[in-house]
Amino acid sequence: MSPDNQNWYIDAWAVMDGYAFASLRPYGSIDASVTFFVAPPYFEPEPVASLATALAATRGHFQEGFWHRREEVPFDSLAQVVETVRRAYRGGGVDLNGAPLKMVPAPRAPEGPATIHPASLVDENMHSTWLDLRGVFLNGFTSLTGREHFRQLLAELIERAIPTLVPKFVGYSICGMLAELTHHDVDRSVRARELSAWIDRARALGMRVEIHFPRRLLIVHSSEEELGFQWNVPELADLPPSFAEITVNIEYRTTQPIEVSPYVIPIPHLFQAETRRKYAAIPTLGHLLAVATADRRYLPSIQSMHELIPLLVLGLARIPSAILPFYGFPPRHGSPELRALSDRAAAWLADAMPSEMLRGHIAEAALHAFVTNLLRGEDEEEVLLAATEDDSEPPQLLNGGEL
Amino acid sequence: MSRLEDLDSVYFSTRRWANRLTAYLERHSTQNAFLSANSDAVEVIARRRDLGLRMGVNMPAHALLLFLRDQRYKNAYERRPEAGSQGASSDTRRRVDAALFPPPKRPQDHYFGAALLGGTGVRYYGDYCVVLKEQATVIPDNTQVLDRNSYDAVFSPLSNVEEALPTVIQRLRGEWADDLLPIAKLKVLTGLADAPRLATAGTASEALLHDESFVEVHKPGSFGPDDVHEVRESPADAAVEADLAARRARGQILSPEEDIWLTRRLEVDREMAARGLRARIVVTTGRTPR
Repeated sequence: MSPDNQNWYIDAWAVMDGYAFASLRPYGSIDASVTFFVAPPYFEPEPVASLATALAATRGHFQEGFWHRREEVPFDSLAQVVETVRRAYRGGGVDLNGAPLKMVPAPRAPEGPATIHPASLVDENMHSTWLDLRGVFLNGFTSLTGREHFRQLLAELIERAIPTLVPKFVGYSICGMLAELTHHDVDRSVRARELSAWIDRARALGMRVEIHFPRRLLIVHSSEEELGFQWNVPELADLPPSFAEITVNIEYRTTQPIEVSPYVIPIPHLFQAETRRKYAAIPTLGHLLAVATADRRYLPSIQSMHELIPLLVLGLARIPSAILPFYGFPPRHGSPELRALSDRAAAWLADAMPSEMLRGHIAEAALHAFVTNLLRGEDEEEVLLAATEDDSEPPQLLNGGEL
Repeated sequence: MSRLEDLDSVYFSTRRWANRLTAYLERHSTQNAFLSANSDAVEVIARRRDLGLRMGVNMPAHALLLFLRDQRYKNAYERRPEAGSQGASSDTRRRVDAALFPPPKRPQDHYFGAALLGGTGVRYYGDYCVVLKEQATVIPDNTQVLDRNSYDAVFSPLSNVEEALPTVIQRLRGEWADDLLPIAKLKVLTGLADAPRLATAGTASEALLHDESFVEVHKPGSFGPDDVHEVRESPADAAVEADLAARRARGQILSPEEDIWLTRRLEVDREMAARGLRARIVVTTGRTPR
């Protein structure tokens, strides 16, 4: 607390919308020295003339202050307030439009004894890099050097994952999207465009996607031509054979590529099977964007290296089409395209991960509760209390990667 | 300690708002021949169909999506906190509400908005300004209005006067049909000061709702999308939206919050179009850019 008994307090807060007023004032008082307002997308604090403007906001959709156990939550600085509001806004991306949360994809039936589990594609180097990455994140990085180390580790993991684990993820996600096309309650044309955009994105990342109608098979080839995975997709029986044409290679396009929304890419069960036991199931990459960038506990909750893959794919999926490798220059091993791709995705992820500014602050637990509440649809207050009982970070991974 | 009328004997008098306006004009029109003409101009502007005196409620994107989904606007008494736990009931809120809504009125039956003459409302409360229809079935004639943000009454200088809070509020309140126009005229005319020129629609619009300063409306009962005249957006937000989309098209990776903000605005566009709600980009002065 500052010498004159003043702290920063949130006066009014539209959590889901990222609008907030905060004042420097004594606890429970309306005698504010200054009052600031922040809002998305920039979250640049601007002073307002009167605290009355903040209080009037609570007449509508702004909650009154920020409370924990009937006490107003104090902040040491305006920067801490802004970080809380910004991260809650990101977390609110779990509920993008007020519609019920999208269903978490059900596990697909095992493909048979020859099925390659993603965990088996994690080599020693990758596993060791993942442990380093996790350690750096848990220790926190406030300096540019620390952030650069974190980014380099991410880039290394992305580069290693692109030939094998990324196609594995993409294949499973396409299976899920193909299955959804057979549901009668969806707009098939909209869904098909989304799938088409995702397949285009996979191609720009160096993968080749094939749909074999007669054999009801999906095949995803890696950027390294000799590698690939195949899936049985019985749902193809319910789609017209002409549908396979969406995967036909078109080397030159006259129209702008469609940007793929992360909210339409399902996260396959296999890539969150362990993590969801201790955290919460996350339906799509869009929901993951919200969770992972809002809740500092998400990354350490990942139980195995292969379950980090959705986050790495998210980084790749956020790269705008304009700077993806041209189809003629696939990101093969050792190529400058692969390095550039990995660096760009890693830089975005490193910047997007929650900072440690709120370490030890009640807001950190509240953000975790807020996000898991949105994912699970549980009562906010109960979850917040449960979260604050154990305010510590999740345990370190044991050697071997799985708890 | 001073009394209310010491602050301004005309403005804070016990007379009805129309009489206060007349007194104000009598006091000042000898020095400013434009005052009466401007008073008439505000009246014309207030009755214009494109501008008009209306109630507006600003909402950010998610709040607007929930409003459209639930088909009903909720006030503070109907909401739970989205983050953290339920706080202690604010003593300030209870005092102000008690003064605003003496029995048999109840605060939980009222929904707050701002009076508009064109424009996009109070931007601090949301980037979308939901403007209600001016029909009496939506805004009854006896709807309570206050010449300012009701919380202003608990801050200096109004908090320092001899009169108790209920008396201060009593002096500042009026009704939609009889008092809003004189209140609006007084706010606009005092904003124009001694300017020797006629007020334009844009000037009047800005003077009535300027930045943090607004005339408060306490609508009895909630409202739904069917009661909405139109939804207004500011060019500034439209420009940010276009800029983010252009930056992405040029190959810049957006931050998570930029991404979510942009995606939500697309969701709002989609929902409003699906429901046939009229959406317009309007500059602060109440004019449509094109």
